[in-house]
Amino acid sequence: MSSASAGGTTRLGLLAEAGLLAVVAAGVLLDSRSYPGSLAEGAPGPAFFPRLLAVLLMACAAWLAIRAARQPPESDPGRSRGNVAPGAGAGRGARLALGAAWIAVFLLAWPRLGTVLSVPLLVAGLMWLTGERSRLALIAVPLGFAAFIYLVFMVVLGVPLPSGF
Amino acid sequence: MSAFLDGLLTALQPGNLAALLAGSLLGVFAGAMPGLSSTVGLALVLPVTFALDPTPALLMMVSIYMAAEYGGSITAIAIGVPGSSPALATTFDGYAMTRRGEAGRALGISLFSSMSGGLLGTILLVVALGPLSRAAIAFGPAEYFGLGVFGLSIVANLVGKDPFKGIVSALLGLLFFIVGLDVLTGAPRLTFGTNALMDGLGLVPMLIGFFAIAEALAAVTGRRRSTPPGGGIAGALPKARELFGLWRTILRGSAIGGLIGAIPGAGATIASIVAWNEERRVSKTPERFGTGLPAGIAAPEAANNSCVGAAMIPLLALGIPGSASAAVLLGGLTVQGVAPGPLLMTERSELVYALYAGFVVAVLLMLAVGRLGIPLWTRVVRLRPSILMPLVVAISLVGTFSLRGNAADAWAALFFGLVGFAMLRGGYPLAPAVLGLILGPMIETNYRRALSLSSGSHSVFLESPISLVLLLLAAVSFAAPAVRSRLISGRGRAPEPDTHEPRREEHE
Amino acid sequence: MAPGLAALALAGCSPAGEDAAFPSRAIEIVSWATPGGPTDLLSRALAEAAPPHFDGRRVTVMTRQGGAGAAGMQYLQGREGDPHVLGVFTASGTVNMATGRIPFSPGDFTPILRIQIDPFLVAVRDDSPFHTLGDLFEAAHARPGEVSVSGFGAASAHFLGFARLRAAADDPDVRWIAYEGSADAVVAALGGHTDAAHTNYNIVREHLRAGTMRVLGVALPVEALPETPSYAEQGYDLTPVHWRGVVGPPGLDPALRADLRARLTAAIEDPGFREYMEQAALEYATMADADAFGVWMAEEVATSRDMLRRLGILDE
Repeated sequence: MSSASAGGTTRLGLLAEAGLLAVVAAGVLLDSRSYPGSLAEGAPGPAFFPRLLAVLLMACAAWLAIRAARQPPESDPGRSRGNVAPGAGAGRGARLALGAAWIAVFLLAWPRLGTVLSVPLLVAGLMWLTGERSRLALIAVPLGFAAFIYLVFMVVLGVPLPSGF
Repeated sequence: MSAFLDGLLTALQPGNLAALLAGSLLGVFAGAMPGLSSTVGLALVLPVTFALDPTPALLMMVSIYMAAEYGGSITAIAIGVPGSSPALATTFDGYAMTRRGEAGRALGISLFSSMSGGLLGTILLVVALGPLSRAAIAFGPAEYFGLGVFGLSIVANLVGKDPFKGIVSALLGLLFFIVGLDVLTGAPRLTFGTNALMDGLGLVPMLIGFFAIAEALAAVTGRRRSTPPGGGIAGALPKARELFGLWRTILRGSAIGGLIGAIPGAGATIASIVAWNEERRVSKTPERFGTGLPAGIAAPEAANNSCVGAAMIPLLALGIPGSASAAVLLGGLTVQGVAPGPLLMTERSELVYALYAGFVVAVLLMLAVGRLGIPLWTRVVRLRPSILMPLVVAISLVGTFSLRGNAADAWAALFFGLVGFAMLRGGYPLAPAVLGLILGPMIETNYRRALSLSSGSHSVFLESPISLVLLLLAAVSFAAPAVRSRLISGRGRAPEPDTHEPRREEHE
Repeated sequence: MAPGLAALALAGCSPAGEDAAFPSRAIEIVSWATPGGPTDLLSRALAEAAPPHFDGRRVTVMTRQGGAGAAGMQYLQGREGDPHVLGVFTASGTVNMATGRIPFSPGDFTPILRIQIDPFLVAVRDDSPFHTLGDLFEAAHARPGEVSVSGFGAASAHFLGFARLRAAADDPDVRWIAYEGSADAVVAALGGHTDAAHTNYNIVREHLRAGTMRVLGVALPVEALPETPSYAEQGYDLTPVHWRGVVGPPGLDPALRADLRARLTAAIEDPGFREYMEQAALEYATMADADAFGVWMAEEVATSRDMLRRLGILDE
């Protein structure tokens, strides 16, 4: 995530954003080739609007690239490097990946383990990653929350949440 | 009047009152839980209403609908996550106020405005059922297109520090709407051959992803989020004088909610954003919107509750559900053998008056239930982030799943969480993207529909007076911020509202 | 064979973990339809009427929306051989099979009981110049592209119902304006934005009673509309209908299938269910047996596919 953490301010960040927008726009243009024509004569078909958006996004990407080119490479406004410890960016990136991965693991396990088992694991993991270290909280909060979800959502309201197995 | 009093007596019978109270409790809960909404709350009680008589069944449903619109603001104010989509605009000023340590004040303003909006919407329903229902059907493709473009012009006021990035955000939001089956041809677009994407990327997964998951991921990466100051002021309610001082704002918000709510398919989310924007426009200090102004809470909350009464107009007068929640209500009516339509008022007037009175009682019960809940919510605000954020993520994912019983929606929420995180880091405001997703269908589908009907002639958009006025308003609204900043540029740039990136200042 | 005996006979071959007798636990009706819509209401009315006919077991509606119905269908398909999971299938489902929008075919489910039909009709606002279907189509022949009909969806059951009617009238250029729902399509006609709406009786019933709308023609004679000539009476020999029925997961044992059909047939005779059918203005249309329902589903897919090819929407 080092490019994203520098996003919007540095030359590299601007170029990365421009590239990303251009790729998205190109993908939309590519996908729109398979759309059928309009059912009514004279009216725009399903490809009209996506292509319009893609062209506008391309223009935005070009503008970002111009901005990047104008910016002197060494200047890094609004951010003083001295404040950030070396390697902090990489550490943050790893933590972000862990956090997202933990949610993804939960989504995969949810239908199989069921709500009552998987939800407390999600909560406890995210608490740990967010910096919670109190053992009591790490045990009590997820369990209490699971009981709440079970009682209120599944028993009282009858929401059909995955029950597992 | 006597018919209304009869209705009131009916609504106050013990069984009916119990149904109204149960509806209020469930409504506030469903509204407040991110992911759940009035629609989910109504769908959950639909089986229960089979066993009830028509009157209590309907009263319970309207009570849920009404209370959920206030409930949505609770989470919007307390944790910055809109509990349901009509509370989106409430996050702008409501959460800013909470961060100042005034959660109780913000919730009080929201509750009072919701109550007032609910009552004014009900009055509108009673006195203007006929004329507004006729106005509602005057909205054809050209008019909806105009409304959609007008709504999108609000982006100009949501762009934050860098207008360019706001526009990119809005374009991305419009692009997210493209995903799914095209309404007019049935062709799949941007689905990449997967079935899960055919129904498109929903608004709820986007709101959950942007406002709950992105924020939790930021917390995981070590961005500290300070706990709002507590103590005496956190729970302090607003003074009565402050509330009544907001009467102009509440009237404006309710009027906007009432008019937009009566148009089928427009809905409370659009109405509340338009109300917020309108309030900002007429304000003497528009630049302070988004920093925690009472009017920034009162306007959207009055609007979304006023929408509830207004949404009943096309439903009762024409049998046309104007929103997803109204569609479930129509299902409930059908089950009860009540067929809304032009003859309902003459054939079932006693039921209609009980419904009107039920709205009034529901609003008052919402006030009571809401008031009792405020001390609890102001305490939730004070939970430390390492406990609060994981719980918000978990309940949001459970809520998103409950919405349609679809695991793909929860995955979409995670996707939007990552997108939202990256956008925030790059300085791209999130609100324009949400607006793009909401208004994309209204703009694209109706543009193409209007041109199908006119065989490609664009003059339809100018021939319809409603569409013409809306398009002109859009042009003014879009240009206004630029003109204003030009005018005051001598005094330096106006401070931007930090609505769209509410949590950036605690960065690193 | 009596239901109990059928279940007993199956004791050995029921799915793993099942007890001998059916039903051994609560029945789930998977609903992939919009909450509060006609198909969702059918699921709920059935859940309400069924328990006494399923030995008092609970019957719950399980919402699984998404992917044009595929999410719910996938869930149902995954419960192979399990008689405790049912789903309500509709004309929209078979059309989605025909377009290939959903990766299923009728063979992926076990047809059990078609319950109701909902004939299509064409309605106009009371002040419309059209009085018969002939008027509408003549105007379209005279002014191609200028006559518009609004209806639910593109390449949908409603669209194909109208396309078949249009084909029978020598394909005039009537413009189909697709809407997100049937009610929205009726509003468009009511507001004068389109010339007519193609929809179902229960959507326009109140407007017909109030005289704000008129019906030009109905696919099948409807009891409540004795004056309105059917398509056939106006010279268009076809009867497109919307229909809904119960299907089970694939691989359901024939005896269990017959048992389910018998129990469901009893359930829809329940007074409460009858009342729902009346209030929703729907007509019973159970078929001779479950196999006939299966043949019907396959035919619906084939007819839809032919029409889609003819219109150039589907190539192959």
